[in-house]
Amino acid sequence: MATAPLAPTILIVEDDPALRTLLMRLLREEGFQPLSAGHGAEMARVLETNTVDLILLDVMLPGSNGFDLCRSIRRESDVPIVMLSARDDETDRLIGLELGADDYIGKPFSKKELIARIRAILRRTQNGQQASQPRGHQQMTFAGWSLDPGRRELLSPDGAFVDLSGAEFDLLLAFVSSPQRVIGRERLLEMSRARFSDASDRSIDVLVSRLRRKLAVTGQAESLLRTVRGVGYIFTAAVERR
Amino acid sequence: MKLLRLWPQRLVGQVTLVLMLAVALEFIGSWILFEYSRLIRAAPWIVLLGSVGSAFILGLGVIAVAALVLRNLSQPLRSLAEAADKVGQGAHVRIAESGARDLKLVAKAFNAMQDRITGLLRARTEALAAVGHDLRTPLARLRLRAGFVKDAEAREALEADVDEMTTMLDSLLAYLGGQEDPEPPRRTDLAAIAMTVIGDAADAERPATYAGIDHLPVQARPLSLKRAISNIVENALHYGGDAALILAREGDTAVVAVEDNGPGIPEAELAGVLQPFHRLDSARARNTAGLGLGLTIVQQILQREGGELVLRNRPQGGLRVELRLPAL
Repeated sequence: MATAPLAPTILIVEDDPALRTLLMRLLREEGFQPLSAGHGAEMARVLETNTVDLILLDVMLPGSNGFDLCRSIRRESDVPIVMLSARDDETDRLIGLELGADDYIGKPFSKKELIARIRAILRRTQNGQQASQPRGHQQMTFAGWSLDPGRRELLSPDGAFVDLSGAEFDLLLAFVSSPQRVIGRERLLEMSRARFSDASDRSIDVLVSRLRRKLAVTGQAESLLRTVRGVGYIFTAAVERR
Repeated sequence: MKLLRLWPQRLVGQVTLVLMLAVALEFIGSWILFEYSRLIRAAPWIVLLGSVGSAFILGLGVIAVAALVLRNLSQPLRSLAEAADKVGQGAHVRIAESGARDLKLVAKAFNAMQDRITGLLRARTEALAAVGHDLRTPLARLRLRAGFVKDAEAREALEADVDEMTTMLDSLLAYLGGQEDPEPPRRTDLAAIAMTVIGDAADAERPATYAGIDHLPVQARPLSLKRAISNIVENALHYGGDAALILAREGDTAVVAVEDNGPGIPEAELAGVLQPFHRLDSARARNTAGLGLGLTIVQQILQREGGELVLRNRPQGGLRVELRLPAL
């Protein structure tokens, strides 16, 4: 486990006092420096006087809800935001991610899950990789396919929604971010490990073969994701951003 | 909404016509008899016969009228029965409040009763859903607290309990919220969804396999479809021990079949398993996760997408569950 020189500060915005206390204790035990707020106004006060590395933001808050707060934070800063929600439904998740949240966790979540996600996001942002992770509505198209990183959606050339697992989507995003360049297995592993801590060398190959099958359109199949033996893979299509 | 009429407008006309006909026949009969007896001074028995004849004709008329009235009275009752049968099967049935006074009262009472039932059900559903959502916060606390338990065995057991409660809550909320899903139908690749579900199961090292075509577009709500497919794969893994998903196109129909090698379902119980809160073996109910809503939710989803759910025992043993949907 890599230890940061300074304990990262995490702001918890949650209206349930018991849950807030638990989260504080948990984060402290894991070596973070937690701050807390019970509602939007309090959050604003904390943000005025402190530098925060990440915000855990509950969706259901008294007064202005988490989505509104997320939008207003995004207007001023790029601080990573993880939304916590009691409504574990996909619509909420999409709204959260579209408003610029970095991740979305449905309640109840385990300690392990929460810590893993927080570490992953901090690793991503502190390594300065954020630039390579496209954000918002910047749509990408390749060989008739279109990819929307904000909504986390892939549409096939005939306009059908193609479901991808979280890991498959991240992998595809990594490929289209560096098109027509050989990407080593190690690098892919590193990228997907940012999200899934237990990815192994073999699971990258499994993910690639699943992705290939979903991207297979008559004749086009092998060419989109070509194996470079002994090294890794290359995404062969040209990618256009809009 | 369907509007039913209890009181047919044509009844009055029919009754009047039959009555007029009977009176006319009676009148003609009496007249013939009178003329006849006046002309040939007939024997008394002929007069008697004539009277009996005319009474017979009148009787026939009355019987005809009675039959007509009865038939037309039972008709509104029959449509009331039909309407009552349709209540609770989705569509809101309304009865036209018109016609005879008593029937109007019945129609009015029926409509009011139905409004009350709908209102009550909605209130209950909303209350249950609200509690369901609110339960997530204490569950979240519980799950986090479990993380502080030092005894690894106790911690894992606690986490498993919370997971089980979460699963139950999720299925309950899916069942309650199924009717008013905001997700719009869209062009969706059924194959990709099926592959994701199988991939997730395989990642958890469970014996799930995928076979069949790589793409199959349908017009449907992708999240609902994913829930449906994942429910039947989960059932196959849980009750059958394995899950083989086969995706095929049969003419205009997309068929997602999930087969297992488990014990199957007794033929007599095949229809029953689609009922909400149904469990096959009530004695072992405590050993199984969930609330017995899995297949009910699948059926709900398929009905909304214009598809159907088919359960069949395989001749070689095990169960085959088919989701059939119109393909694009």
